[in-house]
Amino acid sequence: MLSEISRLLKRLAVAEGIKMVALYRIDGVPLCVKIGTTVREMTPVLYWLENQIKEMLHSISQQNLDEASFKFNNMVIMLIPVSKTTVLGIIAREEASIYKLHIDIKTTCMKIGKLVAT
Amino acid sequence: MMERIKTGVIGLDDVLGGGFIPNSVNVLLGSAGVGKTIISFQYLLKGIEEGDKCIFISFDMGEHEVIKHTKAIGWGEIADYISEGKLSINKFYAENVSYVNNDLLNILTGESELNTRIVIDSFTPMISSLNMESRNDVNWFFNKLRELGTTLLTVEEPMNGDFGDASVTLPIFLSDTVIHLKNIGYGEAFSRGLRVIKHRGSWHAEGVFPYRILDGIGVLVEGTDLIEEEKEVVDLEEVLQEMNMKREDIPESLIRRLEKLAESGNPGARDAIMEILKKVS
Repeated sequence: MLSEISRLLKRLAVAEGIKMVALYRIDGVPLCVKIGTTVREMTPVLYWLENQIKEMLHSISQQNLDEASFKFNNMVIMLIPVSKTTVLGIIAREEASIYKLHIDIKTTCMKIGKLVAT
Repeated sequence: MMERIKTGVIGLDDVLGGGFIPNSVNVLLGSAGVGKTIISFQYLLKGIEEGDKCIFISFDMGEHEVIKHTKAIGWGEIADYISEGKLSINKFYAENVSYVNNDLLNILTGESELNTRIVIDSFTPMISSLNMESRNDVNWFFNKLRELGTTLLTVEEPMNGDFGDASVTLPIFLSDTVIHLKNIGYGEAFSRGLRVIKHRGSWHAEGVFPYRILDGIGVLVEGTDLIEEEKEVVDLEEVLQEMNMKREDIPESLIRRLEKLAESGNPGARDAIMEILKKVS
């Protein structure tokens, strides 16, 4: 299961404009992370995300949100609930085609949702 | 490869790079109900299977309770092991015991053999009244345990998640291995997950691994197929060629370290070697 999730995230991470995809547990613990760029470039954003994620995931879960997104410098951070216990986090370049990305993201979420629901 | 003590938990040895290090003190950290005691008995059952002497120290379970609870999981053979003397169960009363208790140390010393597996479930009552200044005393006790065999201690995670308490931080700092178990209680694959916080002197897999508690089996750690998939054995000569470098250009001590890294199978080893070589070129 974990290797299948890893493959799905890897596929998403190489899509144009994507800088990082990560599957988080609802308590903020990263379950699987794929970075499509240099780690150094992502470090400040990841530190920021690490400090915020619990609070954000709590809000998403409490308010039953479909998605939450943030802009950070020239990056967009999206958090999309996948299942009762997992949330997909995506960091993309601001200029990336969000519409196209959304289709890929929805498909990935659906597949991961099925895997973790067992 | 260094000799390892098998944990008896399917999947956990893969996460630990083969198992526990002999003569080490290992901690299972988690709140009530995550499966610490079940893993403890899997560890002891594996020991009995391998002919090791096994000792179980508890503050809430005597022989009767141990037999009752383990039988419920499907391990009826435990009763026989106790009567055959392969497994020693010792119940202490928390209010009467500390880690410097002579009775406890006498039992452990008297019953230990060449390969002894010791479980203390849980270690928390023994150190709950301590502060950080007791570090040396706890370290002394851990060294005694290391002399006697390979120990598994369970440590209660405070319900408020406060890891700053000495009863949690001391065993985390002073033990050789810490495995954190967590159940967030939503019933999906990742609801129960474990991760290795530290594993002195050994490689260990990074990340959270989902686990289940199953009748007959006990704890089953899943997702370990990814560990093998992500292993990256590097041909150092090939990397040197790719970077137009020769062995002679690099200090011998660094070559030895790079060889070790290349053979390690660590994910990302190739990129790390290239990065290091760029710096020395």
